[in-house]
Amino acid sequence: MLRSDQTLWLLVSTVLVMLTLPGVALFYGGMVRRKNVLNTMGMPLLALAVVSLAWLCFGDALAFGRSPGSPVPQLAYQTMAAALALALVTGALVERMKVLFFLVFGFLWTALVYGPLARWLWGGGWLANLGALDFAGGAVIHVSAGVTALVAAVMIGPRKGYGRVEMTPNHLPFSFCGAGLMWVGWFGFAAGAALAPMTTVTGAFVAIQMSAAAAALTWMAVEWLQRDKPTALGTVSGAVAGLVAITPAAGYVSPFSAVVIGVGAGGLCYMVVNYVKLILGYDDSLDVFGMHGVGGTWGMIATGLFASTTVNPEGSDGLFYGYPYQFFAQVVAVVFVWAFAGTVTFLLVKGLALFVRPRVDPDAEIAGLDITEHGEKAYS
Amino acid sequence: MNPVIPQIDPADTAWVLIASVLVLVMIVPGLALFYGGLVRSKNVLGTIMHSFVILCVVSLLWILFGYSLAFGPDKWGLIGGLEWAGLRDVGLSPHPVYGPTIPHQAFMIFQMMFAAITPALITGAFAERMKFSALLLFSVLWAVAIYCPIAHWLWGGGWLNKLGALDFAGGAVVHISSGVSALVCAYVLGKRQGYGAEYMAPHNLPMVLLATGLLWTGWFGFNAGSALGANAIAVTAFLSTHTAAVTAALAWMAIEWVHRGTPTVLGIASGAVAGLATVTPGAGYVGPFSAMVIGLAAGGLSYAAIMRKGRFGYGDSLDVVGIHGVGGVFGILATGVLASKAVNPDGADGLLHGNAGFFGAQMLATLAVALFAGLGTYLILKLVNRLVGLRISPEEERMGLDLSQHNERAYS
Repeated sequence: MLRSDQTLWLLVSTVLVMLTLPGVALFYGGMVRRKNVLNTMGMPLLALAVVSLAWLCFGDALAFGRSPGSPVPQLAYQTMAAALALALVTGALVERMKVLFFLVFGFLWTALVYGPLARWLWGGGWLANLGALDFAGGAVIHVSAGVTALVAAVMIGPRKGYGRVEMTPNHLPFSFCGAGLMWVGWFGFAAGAALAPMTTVTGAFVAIQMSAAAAALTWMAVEWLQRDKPTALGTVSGAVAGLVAITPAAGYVSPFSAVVIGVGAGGLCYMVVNYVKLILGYDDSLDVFGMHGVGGTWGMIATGLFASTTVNPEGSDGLFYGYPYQFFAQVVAVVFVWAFAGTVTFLLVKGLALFVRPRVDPDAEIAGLDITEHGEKAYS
Repeated sequence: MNPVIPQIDPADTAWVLIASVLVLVMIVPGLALFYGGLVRSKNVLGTIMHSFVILCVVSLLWILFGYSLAFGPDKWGLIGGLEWAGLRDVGLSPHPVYGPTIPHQAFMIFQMMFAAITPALITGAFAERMKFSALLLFSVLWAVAIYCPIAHWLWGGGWLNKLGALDFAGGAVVHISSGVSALVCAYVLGKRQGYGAEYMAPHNLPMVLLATGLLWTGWFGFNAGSALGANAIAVTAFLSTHTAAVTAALAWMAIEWVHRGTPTVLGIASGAVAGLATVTPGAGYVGPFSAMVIGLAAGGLSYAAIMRKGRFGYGDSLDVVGIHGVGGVFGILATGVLASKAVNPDGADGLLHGNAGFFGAQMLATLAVALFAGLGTYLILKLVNRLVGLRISPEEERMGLDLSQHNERAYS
């Protein structure tokens, strides 16, 4: 039996995590071209729908070994978290992916990638037994979404004209609004499902706030120094990178460690989004890998550096607090999550492509997915 | 206040954390979109950036030393000491005064959001013409040199607090301070190019209305959260907040209807915000009917102030002075009149209940905060102007903040 305040926090957290989904929809919707807004914004909502069904039918059973339909208090919360992971993936594939392909892919991805990973780290699986920590989904949600996004984007190929024609965002205030809602909703990851004491929740709250703020300022500062002007999109992207990186660490680190994690996230993600992507030439449309893959990886490793039992006795000490093993466990977790998510996504896309076309026609891509996939227009 | 043995209550903590999230909703996306929608489309990203970057910078300053200056051990009633810098001694166990039933850090992060929204409110006064570097420097200096002392005076055990002045959720600390500072900013920066000659219509009113809804939603955290627990005072504050908002929105609408022939939707939204700002200092001390009186007056006074703006000749682009300055002053004084111990035994009786001394304290608080914020802002602006220059060049102003300061466009 849960106490009423535990149930209260669980419900509030579930609503907050749910709020990140319209957040992602607006964040992504503002960044694409006018002709693809509706498709882009619809994807996260479709992800919510598909994952929710998949999670109820078998995802939860795969992850936590509970029989489907059993009334578990955390069920709704876990559904939202899983939906967010798939919603994030869409950002790498927008402006060219077929809706039907995404629906089938998403359903299977929940079962074959997300479910097992949640088992490994949260459901008493082997990484949990190894001692790897992932407070609220740095590996399970973000590394898995980021790596999936990278592999799928490379396999599906770049958008037509990528690198040659300018693809200007259609509505950046939307993107800002979405990033703001993500920041707000991210507080649902402050021990949402852990039923932790309110002191742990408070510590995680402060860590989330500090990491987001520090990462935004870092991205802004680097951009200012390097390119002479700080952009608004860059600054809010920095905040999102900071939110991602603190996710695995939030409940285990002090406010100042959170600042350091945020600074690292802002700097690393900036480098990958602005340089590594161009050097390697893949078209990760809205930088899902650059933000979530990189930010999540850094956050997992940083947890192994900065975790401290003085902050949270239920956690562990990291390398900087005299326990190198924690660092090792975090690295192992990251390596295996990368390998697993990447391999399974590769096989899944290959296999599915035999039955469902992943990509729209070149003509449809020029006309825009709003009209060809959905038969409607965003603005008049 | 009765001494309470500090012990964490999970429900109180949950409410204060939820309230912190709600205040965050007021800043991003709320206030940023509110101001963003009111400017011309060439300035929307620059305007949004003001609120966003202030949130980030103040969050860092707050844990470094801002919280300590505002709430740390009292020094001569004027400011907090640096004993709590870097959150030393600010941990997860409760503080006996600052929320005895919640972790000290929960109080700290709730107050962090207040410290962040206050300088963000000022940005409406210099929208469309301030340099981004100047904005950053100004906000940092303002948060440290103006906000922290004022917060200490009223909430951190400073001299106004000792004199008995009451400010439930920031009528003086947030609204008078930002409103008066906005007035000074508007005077020092001068008007926008072409102000009065060209029509500077807001570029996206639906965005402003969305933001009004978000501000209204978040304000429940701002005011009811200031009870620092899930208790009867929080419920009182919640109800008076809502009552004042609806009354002020309708009052503004009615006045505009009579005065101009048609009620504008922007006017209704502005009225709601004026009501919310005005009830802030009294929210936890007055009942719903007093809140109605406050809301009625707020709508009327703010409307009148904005109508008279042209006569005084200051270029407060987005009416921070008319809404927050006027609302804050009237709200603090109205608290001195209408507050009642029957509503909140930890509060005070106002003039209406025969306590003239309390009204005096509220007047003193208004004067002190307004003078300090006004003078301090003037000095900070002069300093910033010397260091980096306040205003963008006329060509940059024609080009817009988005391209000139951030090298990007909002729409395509």
